Amino acid sequence: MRQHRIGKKLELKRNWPGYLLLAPAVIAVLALSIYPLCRGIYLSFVNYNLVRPNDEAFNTFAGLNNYIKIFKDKIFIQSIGNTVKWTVINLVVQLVVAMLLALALNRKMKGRSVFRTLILVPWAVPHAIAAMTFTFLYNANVGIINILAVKLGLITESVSWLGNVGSAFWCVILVAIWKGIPFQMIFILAALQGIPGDVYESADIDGASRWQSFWRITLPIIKEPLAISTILNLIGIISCFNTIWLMTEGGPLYSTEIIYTYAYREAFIKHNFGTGAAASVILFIFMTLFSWIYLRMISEKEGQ
Amino acid sequence: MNRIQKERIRTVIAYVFTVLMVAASILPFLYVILTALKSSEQIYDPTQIIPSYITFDNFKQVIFHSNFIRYFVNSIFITVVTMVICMILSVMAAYGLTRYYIAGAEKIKMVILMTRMFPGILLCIPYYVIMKQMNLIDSYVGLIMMYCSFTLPFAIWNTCAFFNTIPWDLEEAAMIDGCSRIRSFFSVILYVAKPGLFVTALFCFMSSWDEYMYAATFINTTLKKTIQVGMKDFIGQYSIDWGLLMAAVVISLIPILIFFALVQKNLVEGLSSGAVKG
Repeated sequence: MRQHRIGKKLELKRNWPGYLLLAPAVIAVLALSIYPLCRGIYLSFVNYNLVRPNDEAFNTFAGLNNYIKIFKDKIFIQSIGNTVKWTVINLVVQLVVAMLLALALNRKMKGRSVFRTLILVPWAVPHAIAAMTFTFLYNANVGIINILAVKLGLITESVSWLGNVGSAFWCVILVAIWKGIPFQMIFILAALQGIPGDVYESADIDGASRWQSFWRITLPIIKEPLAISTILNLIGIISCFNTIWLMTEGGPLYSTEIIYTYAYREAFIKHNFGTGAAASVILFIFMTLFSWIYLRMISEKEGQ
Repeated sequence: MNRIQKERIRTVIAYVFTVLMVAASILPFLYVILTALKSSEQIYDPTQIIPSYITFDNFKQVIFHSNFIRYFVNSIFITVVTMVICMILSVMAAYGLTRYYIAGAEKIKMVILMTRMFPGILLCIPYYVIMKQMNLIDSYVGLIMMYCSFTLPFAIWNTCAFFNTIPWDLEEAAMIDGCSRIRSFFSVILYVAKPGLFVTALFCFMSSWDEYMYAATFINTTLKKTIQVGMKDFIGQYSIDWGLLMAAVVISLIPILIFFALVQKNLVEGLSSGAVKG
């Protein structure tokens, strides 16, 4: 026991610069993420009023009231449905298109590096700018989508794409997909590049078709990085705020409202910090689940 | 149909698909640039998709007669400070984590990475309360702190990944040759990890340049706005000045383009290394 303690002490002596170097970053993470997280969870259980923070009546413990309130709210229920729809469509379309694109860009073709760079443009463009750009393209009076559609005879009259309940969701999701594909594509491409070419050659000699070698060779090899990038992408998709907020603010008639925009609206438009915090905690529970899967995957990989 | 023909068809399909996707990626911005170069009558004229004459009035207006340059400078300032703080903290932490024995190092790394997965809104709401108590609403200090909350975990994680690829022997050799530990850090580690650190810095830059929600919520003073928020100045209550807005979009893309050109070579590797290779 005594010996062990001395060992620990010596170890600490040798390693103290390491702890010292790590300390500022850990303190920063604790102060900037962990503490606000705890405050946020706490907020979801109190009646908090921003305008009168010292007023006793408004700063009392509310128990589960905030949660009950949002689950009774039709808009919140609708936003859960929208979040699921938003996430699944985004994920599937991005994954399929990114996979096809990565396979195409992994071939030997002229101008490949130029294509690879240009394809990254949507990823590099800030969210706010992408939202502004597409709001312009969708605009009923000046947008090129309407101009071309009218010219081609697809529609007779300009449509306010973002103003209609039926079309707004699809218009916004299109932008999210457009912006998300490059990210997913980069990961798949990096994984594809790690596959040695002779694997395919031997499959070729054995008479495997392209389709077969994709399902039997490519997919199993890139399975792991693909899963990791997909979960990362998923987390990004669920917490997509800027695109939706700047294009429609969750409207028209809450048709583009997801949990994230709901939480923001509750807190910063309606000033209900308690219910806003409750909604964001629910979002956090979803995301923790996915992050946990992600972390498991990474640590398994490191363990190998 | 023989093998070679089949292969040829596949190549053609791959080409067509790629070209279409590239077009979808960049055409919106070509149209934005075209619009920024149009006069307002031309913007409302559907026959002038490609303008018959070009004018730089929109750019002049945005640069000289609006607050836009001020927003631009604000954003650069906030972004660069965030980036520098993050890089210093994360290089220190990564060196500590990868070159010293630290109890529970893996667990610490995991918790740090976990904080990156927090949805921004989860922190945004309590931040408002905290910042109000600390009188940091409407200040750059508060905004920079919030930006560090999402850039720092990523930077630490990425820097660790790059430091891990550098073999110990390299430092040992330097130290045997008489370098001090500090000296060997600066002349070996930093030198070898330079491309990786550069890419990490770029990500910090891009994610704080990109940020909209915190800036829109916490900054009230007009002259303190960041560029992403300031963009909304051109959207009036009843009408939008599209020419000015599109000129502003073009200007705001310049730093991204410059950075993109700088790290383009290391981009694919840098993007995937931190997240996937861990």
